[in-house]
Amino acid sequence: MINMHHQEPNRNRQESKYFWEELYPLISAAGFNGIEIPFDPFWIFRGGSGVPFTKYCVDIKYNNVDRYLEFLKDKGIDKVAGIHFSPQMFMRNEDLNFYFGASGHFGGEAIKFASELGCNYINITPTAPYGLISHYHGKIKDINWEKDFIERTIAMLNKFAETAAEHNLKLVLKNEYWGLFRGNKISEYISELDDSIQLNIDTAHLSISGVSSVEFLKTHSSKIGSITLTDTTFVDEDDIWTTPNPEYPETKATQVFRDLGFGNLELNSFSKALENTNYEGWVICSCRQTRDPMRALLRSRSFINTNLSIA
Amino acid sequence: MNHWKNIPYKRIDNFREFYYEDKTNSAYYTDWDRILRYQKALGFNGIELAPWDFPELLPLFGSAKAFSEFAAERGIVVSGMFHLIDKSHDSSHHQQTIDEGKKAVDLLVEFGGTNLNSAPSNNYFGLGPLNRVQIKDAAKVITEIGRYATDKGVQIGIHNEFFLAINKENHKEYIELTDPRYVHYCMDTAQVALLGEDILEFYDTYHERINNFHLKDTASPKLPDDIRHSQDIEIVDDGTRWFWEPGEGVLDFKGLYKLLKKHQFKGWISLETDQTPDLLASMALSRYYIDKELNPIYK
Repeated sequence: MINMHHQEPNRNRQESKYFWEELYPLISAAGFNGIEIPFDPFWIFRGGSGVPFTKYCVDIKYNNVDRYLEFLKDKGIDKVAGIHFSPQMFMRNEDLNFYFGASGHFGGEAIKFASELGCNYINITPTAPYGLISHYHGKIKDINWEKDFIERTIAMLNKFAETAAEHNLKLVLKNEYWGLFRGNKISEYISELDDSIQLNIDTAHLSISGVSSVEFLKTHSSKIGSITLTDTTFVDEDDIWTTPNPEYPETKATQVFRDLGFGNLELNSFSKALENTNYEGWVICSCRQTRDPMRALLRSRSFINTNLSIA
Repeated sequence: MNHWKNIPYKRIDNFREFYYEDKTNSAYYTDWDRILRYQKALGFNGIELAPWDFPELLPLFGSAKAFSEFAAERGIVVSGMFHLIDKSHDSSHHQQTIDEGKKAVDLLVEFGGTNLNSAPSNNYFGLGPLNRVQIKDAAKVITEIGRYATDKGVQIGIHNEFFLAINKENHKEYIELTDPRYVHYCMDTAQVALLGEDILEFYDTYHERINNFHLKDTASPKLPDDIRHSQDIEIVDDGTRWFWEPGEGVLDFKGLYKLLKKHQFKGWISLETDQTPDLLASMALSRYYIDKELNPIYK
């Protein structure tokens, strides 16, 4: 809901602790009592410890994770359902050892943070965007880069699975439309992944990848470990998924991820399909490109109350 | 230095359609074309870039040169970029520090800029106070990078900040330990005042070293040690701002401009409005103050 890297034309306000402490009771007031937090080590390096996206930041501002959880509870947030970790920030140069080294290290830190927060799951983006990887590595005429990259990714994910198991956490894979595991592609790799690894359904991402969330749910019903409800009207007609910054289609500016109810996805059909399964986990409402997080909270609640059977 | 958030588009051609998607002002702050046009319209002819711009900016434009050409088409040049001299106090880390500094210089050359404004050390908290050897090492490594920069036509400038390990107690000692042939000074007026210096006295003393400015105001000069030395103090928990637009704080900019005239300063004066909730309003407010109050003194 709070996109620290692009929302609002200034960084500093959202870096202050007060911004978040004003936000928590509003989340609760909008009828949501659980949250998913991104793990973003960017804020370790910039002194922006007001942003509660790492254990380091939480420890500085609240002394320890338990006190942070108490604070959240006092503001009406009963549960940090999960942590999301993406290795995208480490795809910033030609050094793949840096990418996998940093991603492996901070992914492990994210799992430990999730464990301390008492989360149900750690949600991991398997790869940086295809187009961003290509920007740094596709220039080399090495036809095997994608194959090698996926092999190293699978090894990293299986290591994460071990760490998650040690911390009694469920590990789920987020399936972005711009990643190397996009859409149904992920099915090709399931046999190589640790059996404990489950899948996240993100409705907008799957739709943009050309996959029906209802069908994906049916196909992988026993493997679904978390749900992210997102909305969109975007149709990727220009292979935007292959560009370095695919969340911002370069051929035509558009808000890919709309506030819930402002896209055109059949989220009620998905909601009904979900009810017909044994899924008992969290459903996270996400408006990741919203122009106004406070309004998006109320828009989401209004949409859920009016349209969805899972309310 | 640039303080816009990441700008994801080069140029938005479907502006009206994009606006109508959610009818907010986001459409106005999402492409470099418009950001640069705002700057030009308000009379700011250069932009200083920040390291956190590059992970998106470079893939977006393909190269630093391509960005500079795009900016030049709109009448804007890249004046410089910001850099941190990481672990400058630690001589065992200096090879990496120098390599990173050289990379920054090379990138700035690609952008066509000349001022590499560099934080001289990491934060005070967890590191300070530095001992004499550490201060010497910090001065030595920036001088080494400065020598390389000079060869490439770039001027490295010390950009001190009130929360760094090079702080009030060793700031001047550090400057004196650097080689003036290779190391210059970017005077951030608010940061220097927050450190505890009188900005007029400081400029008058070091005018030969000062090759560019970050012009910004503060309402709280001469911060006490316990604030300057505390953890992650740049961003305050309750939203307290250290930095304001020129004329909105308490610094004597008219006095400073008289000294600029006295010393016939020539170089970039960059407006920096970090911590504002509205960058466009701050640019316009500052332009009015500069035109009405400061330019009549020295331009």
